[in-house]
Amino acid sequence: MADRQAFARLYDHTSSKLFAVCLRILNNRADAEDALQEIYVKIWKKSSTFALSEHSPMSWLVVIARNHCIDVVRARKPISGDIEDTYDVADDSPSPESAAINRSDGRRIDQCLAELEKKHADAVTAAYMDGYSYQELAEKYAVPVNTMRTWLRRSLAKLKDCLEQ
Amino acid sequence: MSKATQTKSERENLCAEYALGVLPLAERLAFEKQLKDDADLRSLLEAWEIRLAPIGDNYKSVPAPASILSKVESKLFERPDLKLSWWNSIVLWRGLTAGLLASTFGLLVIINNISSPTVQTSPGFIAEIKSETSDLRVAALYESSSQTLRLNRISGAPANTRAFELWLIAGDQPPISLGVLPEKKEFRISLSPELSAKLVQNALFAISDEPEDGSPTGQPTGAVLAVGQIAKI
Repeated sequence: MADRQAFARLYDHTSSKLFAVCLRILNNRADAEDALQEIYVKIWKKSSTFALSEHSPMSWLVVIARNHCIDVVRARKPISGDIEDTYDVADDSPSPESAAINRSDGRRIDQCLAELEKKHADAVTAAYMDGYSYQELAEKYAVPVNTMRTWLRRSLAKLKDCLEQ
Repeated sequence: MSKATQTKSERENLCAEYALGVLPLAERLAFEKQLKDDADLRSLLEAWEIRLAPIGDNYKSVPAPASILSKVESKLFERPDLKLSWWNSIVLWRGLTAGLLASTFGLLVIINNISSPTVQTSPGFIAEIKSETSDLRVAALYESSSQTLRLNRISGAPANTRAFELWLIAGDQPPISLGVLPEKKEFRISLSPELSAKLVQNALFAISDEPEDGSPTGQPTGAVLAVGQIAKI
């Protein structure tokens, strides 16, 4: 019973955040519900290793959820010819996240993202939040995949330097 | 790709890309496979996960359908192969509670909730017994109510024909052997009341390298491989 109670409390306090991750990355409610179940099974099985990680609890949970959803979304068959409908290829309006970055509310990560070229910072944020692959980002920004890879690798290296200052 | 053929910056890039989530499926799977036996890669990755985690604060909570909890519970608690003891989760739960309190999720109600029957009736001690030089890591939890020490060898294995022996070191008394660690990863040791009494805060666990049958002298004879401070829960 103690297991069940501990689990129910864990679930109560974390499921709405993790469900948001699933919905955002999988972009489909039924898939998100299936994923959330599998994520909690993983969390429960891995919980003994949490004690030995450097993560804060919530960030550890979000990492498990994101990794699961990204594995699911990468394993999906590509929907050919649907890219134009799915992504706002020419949409230059800032996403809610990049708007938050532009406000620069004092968080270190936002300050460091703001030091990147705007479209690079947007690509990093979109990759993290939406789980886009290099391929999808390249299509979204209308650049070759290798260019996107170069953008993001450089951006990530700059972020690291900035965060470690 | 193995550690030997990858440059430091390639490994760094891969960890960053995996943590960000942009790799195609085949590269993700290859990376996950490599992670399994590359502890250095795991810590590089964890550093990236932690670095990028604040971006995830932008996920706005969406209430999950109530039906999911009971579905997960039946998966977890009605299948013996997945059944884990509560202590596996308690460390996470305690950490989570502290984390929640320290963050914007802070809800005073959690303080009341944490005094669950389990926590009240099973106060005890936890320790992480960790090597500075190898991947040996053992998590220990002592339950006062049953005078049982539960151990979970998370990683690390003894050299051929050698064994890990566990010691309790209380104050400046000589180490007391708690026995040779078995092959299986999770196991428990019942402690006598005398030994239990020695498990006070600031006592240490240590693991030494010994012959297969354990130290012949009753004191550590090989190198001390890992130590862990005992902390109250």
